Amino acid sequence: MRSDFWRNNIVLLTALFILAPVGLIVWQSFLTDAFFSARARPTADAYSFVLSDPGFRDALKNTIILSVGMVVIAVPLGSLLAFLMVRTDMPGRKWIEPAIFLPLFMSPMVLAFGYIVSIGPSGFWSVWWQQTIGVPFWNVYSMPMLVLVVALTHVPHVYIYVATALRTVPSDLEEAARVAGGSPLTVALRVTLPLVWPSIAVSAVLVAFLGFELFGLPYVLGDQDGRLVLATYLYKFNTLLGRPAYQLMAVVVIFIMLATLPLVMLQRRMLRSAQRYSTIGGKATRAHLVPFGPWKWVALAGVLVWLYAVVLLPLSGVALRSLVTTWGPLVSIRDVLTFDNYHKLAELPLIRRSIVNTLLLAFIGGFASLCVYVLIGLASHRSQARGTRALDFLVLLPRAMPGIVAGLVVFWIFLFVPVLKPWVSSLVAMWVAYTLVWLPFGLRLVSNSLGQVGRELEEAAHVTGAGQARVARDVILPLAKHGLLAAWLLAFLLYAREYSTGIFLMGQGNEVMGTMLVSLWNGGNIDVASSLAVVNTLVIAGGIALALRLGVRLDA
Amino acid sequence: MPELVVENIHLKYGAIEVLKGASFAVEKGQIAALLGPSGSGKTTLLRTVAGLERAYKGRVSVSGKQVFDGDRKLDLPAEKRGLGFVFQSYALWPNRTVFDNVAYGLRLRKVADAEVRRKVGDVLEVLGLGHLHTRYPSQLSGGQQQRVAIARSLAYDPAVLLLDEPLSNLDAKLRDEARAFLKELITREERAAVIVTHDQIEALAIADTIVLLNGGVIAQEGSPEDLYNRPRTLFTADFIGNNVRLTGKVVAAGDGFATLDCGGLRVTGRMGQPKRPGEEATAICRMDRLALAGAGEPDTVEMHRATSMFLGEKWEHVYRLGDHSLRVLTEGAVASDTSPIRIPRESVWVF
Amino acid sequence: MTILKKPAIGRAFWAVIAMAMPVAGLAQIPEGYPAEYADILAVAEAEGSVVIYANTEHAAVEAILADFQKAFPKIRADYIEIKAADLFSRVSSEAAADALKADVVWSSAMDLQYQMVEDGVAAEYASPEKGAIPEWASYGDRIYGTTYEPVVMVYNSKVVADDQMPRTHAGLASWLTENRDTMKGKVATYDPERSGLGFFAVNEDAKHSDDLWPLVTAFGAVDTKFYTATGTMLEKISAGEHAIGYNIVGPYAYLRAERDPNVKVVVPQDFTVVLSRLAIVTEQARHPNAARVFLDYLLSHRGQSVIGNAAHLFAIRPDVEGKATIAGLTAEHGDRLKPVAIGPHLLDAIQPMERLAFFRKWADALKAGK
Repeated sequence: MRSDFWRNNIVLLTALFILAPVGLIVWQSFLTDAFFSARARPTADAYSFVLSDPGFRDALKNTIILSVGMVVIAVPLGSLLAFLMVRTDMPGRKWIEPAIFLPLFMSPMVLAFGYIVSIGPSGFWSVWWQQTIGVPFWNVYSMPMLVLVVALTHVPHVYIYVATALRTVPSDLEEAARVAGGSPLTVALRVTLPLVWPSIAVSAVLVAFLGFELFGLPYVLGDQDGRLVLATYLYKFNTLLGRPAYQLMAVVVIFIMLATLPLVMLQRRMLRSAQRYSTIGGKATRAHLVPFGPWKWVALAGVLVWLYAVVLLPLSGVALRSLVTTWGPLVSIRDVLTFDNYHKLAELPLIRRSIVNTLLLAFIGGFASLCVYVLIGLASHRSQARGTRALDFLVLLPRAMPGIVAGLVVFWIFLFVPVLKPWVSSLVAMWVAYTLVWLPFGLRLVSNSLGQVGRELEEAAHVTGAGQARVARDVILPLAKHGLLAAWLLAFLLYAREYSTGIFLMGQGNEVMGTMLVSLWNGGNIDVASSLAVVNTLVIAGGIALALRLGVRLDA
Repeated sequence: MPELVVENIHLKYGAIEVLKGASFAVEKGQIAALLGPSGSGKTTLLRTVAGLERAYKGRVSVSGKQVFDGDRKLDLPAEKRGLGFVFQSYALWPNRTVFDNVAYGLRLRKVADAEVRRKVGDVLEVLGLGHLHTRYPSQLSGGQQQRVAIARSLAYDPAVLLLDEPLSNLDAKLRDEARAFLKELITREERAAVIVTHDQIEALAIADTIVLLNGGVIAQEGSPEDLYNRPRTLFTADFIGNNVRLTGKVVAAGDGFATLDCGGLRVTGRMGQPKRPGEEATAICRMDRLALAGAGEPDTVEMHRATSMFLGEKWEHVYRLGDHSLRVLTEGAVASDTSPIRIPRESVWVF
Repeated sequence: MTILKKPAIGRAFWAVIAMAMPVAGLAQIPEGYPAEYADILAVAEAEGSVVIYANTEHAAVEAILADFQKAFPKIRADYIEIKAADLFSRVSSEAAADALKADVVWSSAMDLQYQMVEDGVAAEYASPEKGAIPEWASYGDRIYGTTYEPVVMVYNSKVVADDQMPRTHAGLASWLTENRDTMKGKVATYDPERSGLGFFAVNEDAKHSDDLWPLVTAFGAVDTKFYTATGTMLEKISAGEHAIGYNIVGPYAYLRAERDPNVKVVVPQDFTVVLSRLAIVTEQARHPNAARVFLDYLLSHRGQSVIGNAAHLFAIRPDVEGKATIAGLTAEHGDRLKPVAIGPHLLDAIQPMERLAFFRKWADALKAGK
């Protein structure tokens, strides 16, 4: 408790780690050109340019619609899914569980492209529909469809929060209500729902927030109609004025930060009260399931429809694309079927390297990031000091930076800070950028699992004579092991799908799959891109399966 | 020199002053009980002594060595104070066996392995846990867990043992046993112990000194007998023992005694503070001293019997007069509906 | 992750090493090169590698790198692919920090490449191959065009019949207007605002002919879809989602047409803008001699043959034969081909005010068609 020295140092370092990039962005936003350029002069013109741009207003409007749409659709569905999975005797729960997490970790680019191939205007599901039923009623590029796709793919986010909360609600509360004569539905609405309400609220804020930083799905699906959201609007400034206009991008980033911060703070507030709720119940005993009778088949059908929409539809699209040279209503699949795309994959040495690098970065880098998060988590663990509470707030800032911006800023920092310069465009810099981008997410997971260790268990070690470090080593870490393992797995999965952060930090030999995917695809080599996407998805699915096998709970 | 000296501890949680100058001392081989209602700051005080809470003013010394001094900014962390602490929840590390739980303090002190085995073996033997070395805490009963927690805090020979409600998680029967065991153990091992409890019976039974806390200050400190028989404040009088509380007007005062008229019920008791006739006052009567009066006994009140219950050894009767009701124990059944009840003035305090 | 020395020191170091070695028998200097080239080659081989930042897709460049490796086995080519705008960001940042890793920067964003010359990133180097490429394809011994890529139209022959497909800008404009109902949503091109290449190409169109503006109005009429990436456009044209792609960069279009017989390429018959991938050797190059050797290889007969016939990027050397070459194209399309000459005027394309003015005009023309 007393040796605040190391704590303060870690807090300071973390603050620097976060504030340096943010500070650089703020500074850049007040210049006329790149901060390192001789042409740069101080000005606030970038702000007036962005604020007066009608494109900015459109992007903001689209972003808000997406955000709200996601909350309205994903939150009820995610909560319902969690209830069905955790509390009812719906059949097939064991098989469904790993599939639920897939949309979370599939590259949004891959998802979006999969949708185009499967239900786009020439998509093979659309063609089938046209041949058997009639003109498809949907347009995959329309705003309502975008809202729907984005919302459905964010159902797992809600699921994770609500399922975790549901597991801690003692089932005797429900049983008591059922004994008193409540039907399963009434019990769910009157007893269970109020108990997990805080978690649902937290997930709603989270989803609204994620809506603000959406990139991949709107980037691909909104491309052809120029339908931009804030994060894609920002990229327009890469080309709009000829040379990349960093100052305009910086302004948009600052705006995203300002717009999302209240949301994040609201989430923190709610989370704190949600935790108060969940600790009352303590660790769950084996829950007794609500028998659902014949309704369980209806529920199963509903879940399968959702899984079909978010996993099977896009995946089948990508998988099919990887086996053909072309597609659409004008060709017969049999004529174009080929395994060439996979052969090409095997032929390019670069691809193999990118797979190895991705695994390395995800596995070892994920672990290293976890160590950093644990260190920061321990520094702020049970601390009431003002510095550490400020840190609480600070760590949320990187969340508002789109990956590519974070990557660019980390690149600049490595480039212009002399001691770091030798490390630029190495895997180390890449890892630093990843660590920064996922800091808020990872740290929250870590501090959650650290917080689950009983305070008295730590104090007992202190009184027995263990200093801060020993307590961490002997008590906190061993007891938080499961939560930390889950955090490592999440880091692995997130790093494996990451695509934008590394663009500026790539050097010879450190290509990663996500970035390769995007460049292959932009370059028109969609044959190889889709077979690589299938491989990428298999790696991620393998990660999830392995983790579940090892007993790591993603929603713990 | 007492083994543990705690002086004038002040502590705040945010803006709320939780401890407002608590002091006490414990000699070797003695047990002090921190007693008080919930929210009185007793656990906070104990945790402050252990170094788990941070006071902003006051002094603590252990075995003659200062471990905390608010003025000198001296504040040793918990691990440097060399105390034993038994948590209310026992706080046994679930991932370690009984042996490893108990051995932890010794290992931290870099004691040689053979010595660790010997010492842990001894202390587990003393606590009757000799056969449980390799068990995990989850495989133990509540009583066993409590003893492991005590063993853990004793293993590295701390001079001062702090216990936070150590008996509250045990069932009634175990609690009586554990209480006697604990008292004997501490006396024999010659530690200075501080035990936090909200149960006055427990405090009275186990402690050599009781420190009664109320709202962050010490209401009274003394031997159990002292507190029971010579309460200095209304709070103490009321908190210790099983009491009836009567409020009324003083009708007569003198000689250290005052008589109150409480809506028709007259009661006389020792004055805890000077009272004059006409003043409002409160009388605290020890319930267990009430009895049916024999003929001609002083301090009696005629009351009406509302109900009687047979408790096995004794009978309990509820007597009423106006709004007041008193419980009286007798050896046998009572036939009459009204009786004179004796409220002996030595067992009544007026404040 | 090696700690890099100041380039000057590095250069001196390699020079010393090279001089200490017997020059003769080290490597075969290419035919027709001056005798001093043996020195460059020897030092280049001592440098051991060349770092290339480029935006040419890996799959296309694989053949070039493999052949370079075969020609100069002692020089390893480290190839880093980055999208054009990001490439510029990366190079200009690294150069400003005096930490440029690239020895060669090779990009199809002609305007941004020239900006690098302007910013002093490019080193002066007179390639012995300079005389073998057209005169307009290099400037001031600092920047060299390496390819000759026509900007073409693409169509899906299952959607638009071969004899219907217009072959000129004006023809496309009127045909689209006539078929505005069937062509609704069926045309794809770059979004000039969000694609640097898209702007550059369409801006060149505007310079060559006023026919562009009626065409843009026709685009508005058929609710044209605007893209940022070539890949997506070609994919959707191939799938029949779109029928016509306008201003697609030649190599990508031909590659796609080769794999999918439904995709057909039209080299416009009124005028065809021709772009080139420009290469520079950097001033801060850590491996300056290897960089020169790589640049010379790109321009050499051997390199150009690979560029034209294996990578399908269209050779710029008139003496290279094959379909994807300047010779092949010129034979077929003659002086309708309008290559963009290299020079300071390239910078006009990245003047913010001019661009914004263009976008306004573009938006107005689009709206007029709606």
